[in-house]
Amino acid sequence: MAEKASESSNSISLNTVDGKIFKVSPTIANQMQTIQSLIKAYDSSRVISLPHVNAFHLSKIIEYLEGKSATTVSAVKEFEAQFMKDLSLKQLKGLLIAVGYLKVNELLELMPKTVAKLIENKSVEFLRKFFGIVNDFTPSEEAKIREEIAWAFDGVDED
Amino acid sequence: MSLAEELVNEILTRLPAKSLMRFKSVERSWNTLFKTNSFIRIQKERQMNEDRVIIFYNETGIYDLPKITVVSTCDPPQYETLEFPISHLNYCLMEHITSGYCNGIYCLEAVFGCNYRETNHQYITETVLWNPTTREAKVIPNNPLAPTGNFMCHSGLGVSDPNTFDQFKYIQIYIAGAGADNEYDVVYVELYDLNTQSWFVIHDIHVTRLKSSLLAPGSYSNGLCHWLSLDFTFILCFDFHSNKFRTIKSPLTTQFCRIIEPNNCIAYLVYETDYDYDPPRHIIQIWNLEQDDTWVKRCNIVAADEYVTICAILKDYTEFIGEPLYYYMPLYNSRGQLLRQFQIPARQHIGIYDYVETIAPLSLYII
Repeated sequence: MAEKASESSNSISLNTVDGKIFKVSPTIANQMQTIQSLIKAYDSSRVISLPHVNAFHLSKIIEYLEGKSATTVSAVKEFEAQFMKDLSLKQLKGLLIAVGYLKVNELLELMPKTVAKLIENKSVEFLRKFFGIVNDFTPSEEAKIREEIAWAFDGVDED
Repeated sequence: MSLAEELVNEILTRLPAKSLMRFKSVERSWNTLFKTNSFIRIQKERQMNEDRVIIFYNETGIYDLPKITVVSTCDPPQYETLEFPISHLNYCLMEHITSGYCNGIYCLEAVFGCNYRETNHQYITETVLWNPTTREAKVIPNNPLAPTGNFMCHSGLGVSDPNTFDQFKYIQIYIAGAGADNEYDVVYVELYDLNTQSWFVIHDIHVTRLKSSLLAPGSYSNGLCHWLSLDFTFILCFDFHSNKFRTIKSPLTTQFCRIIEPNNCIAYLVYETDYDYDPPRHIIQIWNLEQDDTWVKRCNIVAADEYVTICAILKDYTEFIGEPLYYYMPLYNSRGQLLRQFQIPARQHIGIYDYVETIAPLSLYII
């Protein structure tokens, strides 16, 4: 009982952009580098506001940090695979932005790998949409590049 | 909201080469990014797959265009056939060699003869740098100032800084035949710099006399190109950074020795037969060349018979590809036992190298 009380008194409150308060243990909070440095800078009893993170993303990050403490390497691998499988590309993108802001190192390694795997067979148009890029080639320049590397356009997924 | 530039880079460096080739046309800045050294280096490291080799070989005779196959040596093996990047209409191939390999770029040399007698141009000699991943090929023009006459020519490919992918240099050494003292003279050395697209001559050669001629082609590792002497007593070494030659004594010399370049490292193979045993034992010693020019014995392979010769080393010196045997390329373990055969009908192999997937460009023009 005493242990539990001390843990909850140590816990850190995080306020997401959509106004949800999350209480996390210092072990979890310290795995988010941005929060780690905010705790150092402020009084830890204060609620830390996260203007760039919404509740869905923060709950996923906490779920990951709690879940990957599995004992065996294969159990962690399995957990990670399931965790990524449950997310759509669009969700992955939003989560990656949050992960980048909070600097969760392990996810910064794992998530780009997952996204790369999902987009490797996509079309150029899909990529532009996904990354929010406006085509700045002239039509003739683009046609020239495409002609030079026509082979790289085989086997592209439907958008 | 969009992803920060570092996060986009983290994703892009994890994409395979084929995807990146296609995504060059997403936007200008990506096209430029994919040609920068750090991007190319990180992408290459992340796509490393040490179990693949590229094999250049002849299926029938030397006058056919050589065949090229990338083999994933896992069990069961996987094959991908590529097309020889050089051809000339109305010319047939007379001769070809692979004369160098460095960081995923292969140097091919070919001599073509014209099919029609009435033309003035009977032969075309061509040297081409080739990246099989991007399928880009770049012709190295002949140096108009190169000496003509009866020279032995040795070439090699390298980079001055092992971390760069846009500084490829092609070296050509001209050696005059043995004089009265039975020694050989290095008479002329030229370098083609792919970056400046120009030839320059190295005047300060340092090592000008050799007591043996050299085996072609050169093997690149770590900023250096190496040629084994024909008598197996020394290795001539060219440093692409300082543009200087030096010689390294070989660790030992028997009737038959070779050098190969597994994993960007020089391995010296010594074949010997121990007649104290009945039947005689055939042993292949493998030595590694260290950075300080010393040799370290790596391992022995006990070969099943005298016909076993090694041309590639895999899986941290536990598996070895041999020269074609009965038309197929064999894979041995360190006890010389046949593990499997690759279904490549090679009558003769011309070159076998590590296959490194890289998007390193050969021409640096930016659209």
